[in-house]
Amino acid sequence: MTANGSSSTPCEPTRARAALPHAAEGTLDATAVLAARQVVVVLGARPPAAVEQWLAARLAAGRGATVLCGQWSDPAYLRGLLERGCTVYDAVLGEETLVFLDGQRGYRLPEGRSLPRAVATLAARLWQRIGEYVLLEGRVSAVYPAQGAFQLAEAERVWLVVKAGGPLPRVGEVLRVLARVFWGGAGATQVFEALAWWPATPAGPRPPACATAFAASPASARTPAEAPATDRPTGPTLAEEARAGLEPLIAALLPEASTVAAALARAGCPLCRLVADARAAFYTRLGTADRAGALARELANSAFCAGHGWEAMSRIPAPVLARGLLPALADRRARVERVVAAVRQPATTLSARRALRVARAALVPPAACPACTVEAAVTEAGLRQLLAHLTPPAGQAAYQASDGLCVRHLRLALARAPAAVLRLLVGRARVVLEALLADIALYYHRATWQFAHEPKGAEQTAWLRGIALWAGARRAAGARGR
Amino acid sequence: MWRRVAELVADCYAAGLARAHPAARLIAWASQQLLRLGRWLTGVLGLPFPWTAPVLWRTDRGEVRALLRKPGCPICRHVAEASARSYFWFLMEGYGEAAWIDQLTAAGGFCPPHMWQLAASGLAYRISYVVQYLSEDLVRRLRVVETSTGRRQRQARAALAALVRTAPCPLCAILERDARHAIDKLVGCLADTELAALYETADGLCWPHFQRAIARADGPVLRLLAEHQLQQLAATERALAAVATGGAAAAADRPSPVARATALLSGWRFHHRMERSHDGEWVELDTV
Repeated sequence: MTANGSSSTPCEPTRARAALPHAAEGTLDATAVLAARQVVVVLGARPPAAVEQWLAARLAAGRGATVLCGQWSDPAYLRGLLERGCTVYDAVLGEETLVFLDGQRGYRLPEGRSLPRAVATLAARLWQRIGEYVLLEGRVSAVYPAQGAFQLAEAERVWLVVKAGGPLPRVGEVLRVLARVFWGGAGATQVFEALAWWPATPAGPRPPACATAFAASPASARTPAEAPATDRPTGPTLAEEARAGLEPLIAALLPEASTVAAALARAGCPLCRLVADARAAFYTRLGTADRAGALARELANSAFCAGHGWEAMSRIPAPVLARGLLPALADRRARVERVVAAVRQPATTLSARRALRVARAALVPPAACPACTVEAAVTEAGLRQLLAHLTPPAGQAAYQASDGLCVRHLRLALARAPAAVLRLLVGRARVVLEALLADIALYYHRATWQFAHEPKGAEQTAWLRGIALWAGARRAAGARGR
Repeated sequence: MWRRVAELVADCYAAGLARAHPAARLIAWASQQLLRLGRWLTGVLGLPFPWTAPVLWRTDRGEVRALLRKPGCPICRHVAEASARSYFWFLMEGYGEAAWIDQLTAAGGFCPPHMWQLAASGLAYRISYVVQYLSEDLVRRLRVVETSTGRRQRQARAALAALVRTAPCPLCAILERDARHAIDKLVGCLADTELAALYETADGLCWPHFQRAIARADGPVLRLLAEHQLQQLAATERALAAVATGGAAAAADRPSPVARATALLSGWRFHHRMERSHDGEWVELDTV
């Protein structure tokens, strides 16, 4: 347990003391902790190193433990517990540190004295649980400065709220977040409290289970209060964006090979995921880049299409979007003024008709919707990376284990895939579709009066999975706008 | 009396057109071609051609009047109503009809936003049927590609090309046709003084529909459209400038300046207020 100064490692229980000094002989020791069916640890403070080592040995053997945290809740320590398979609860507790074995025996730490009424004490402590700690990992897909919240692409229904005034992570960062959820909420969307986060790579190696103690390196952790407030997103600078327009922004959003591989390992169509993530990052970045007028510059020469316009309104803060839309409105007004000036001339002259024709032609903005441009670029780059990733056998195996592409992206991929990848894509798509058809057949079977009594299962959502398969992820589809 | 008879005949004709009756469509096409030819000829000869003034049907005027009396871009509203109507009828009976099945299999289903809008109805039993026939067709095509791969190159290429090629989303095509027709109707009806006055009090067109209307309008209608759009843009710009400087407060019954600007630049958005959620029937549209 390195964090409290002990030089022993948690993987070496034999080097730890056999039992605590005040504990009864053979009662609270390594063997008892390892052999117990259930272990509950109540953390009033950090437990002794020996207990931590026994616990680590138990977790390394694949036997879980339950931890209740009260006032003492070191984020790095909790992260270590969660990474090793502990279930960690938040509770209203005092400063006592206790260990319960099998719900029958209890010990007060650090001295290891036996508790007289262990069952009742444990029950009372368990009743004091008010929430749970979880460890989430993923890419930051959206940041909401006004609400002091952010979201991870891998947990779409979870809002992570930081303490009031605390800084937020950057969009695009891949993080491991220690969060706390309080029970009693309702609905599909959950609000978690983000306590601390650490940089993580989606497919990166995790620390070996026994390489360190429960505590992760405190220096690597960034709690909301500690994170630098002046962090700037990676990629092109704002000045570069102001000079070069949309191109550097698109280049920063294009997926890399590792991103495509990570998307393939997650549920749903990987290209849909990439597109949705890129679009979310695009809106966030536009909101940030507004200081340099990038949004205003882009929209002056183009316009959001109906779907993306309303999406931008919900994603970009209103004052920022207002500043971005002002030049666009001024530009459109100037164009219409030319039409009005032309139409007010008597239409009998050739020059008046020519001026009107020119003014009418000038009504069409030269550039397409910037969000559509980003989507097209990300789809193109993602497809290229995906096809390259699927060529080696490892990539093919990863694709076989994945949900595969949605039909829309499958058609794009089939048009460009080499023969070996083509067989893979076709075979996987056929398997997925046949499974879906079997589920739909079962759904209709159970929808009939004769078999309506049969228990319902996953076939009840087959129609939604079918929609997702045919139209892609809902996040990627966007809104029609009207 | 003759005027009433003429209006009755005109309304019968408009109804025939609305039902896409072949005879009515043929008459409309022929009359348009004749008018175009006559206009071109008289233009070449430098003569006036008084018959180019469009005939305003009573039903068209009524439709445009109704649209202009409601908030939002009238074309966006018309398209939203047409969209809701299309979904309703598709889910009521169209999803199982051969014509729709053919169109959907050729197009590979609806486009993603329309597919998810369809899912929003929640009518699992009917949507499952759509997914079923689309998937069965695709499995059949995939099997053809699988069996032909590695045997005959030409056959494999043809099978793959057939799999990759898709028609446009049928609902998008319908709505695009509806929008084009509605713009023509609006531009034509704005020649009517009463409707022109009503248009001046309305929210006007969004930018995408304004561009298309301007391309079709001429003379006083063009001037009306352009001047009204200029007023709308200037008013929205003023309101938005207040938001950008942080001193705006939107009225509760009106869209916020940012929403108004978004609507003006990108198009209005409407929510369908459902009367009966179980069959997707809607009663009216609310502006966002």
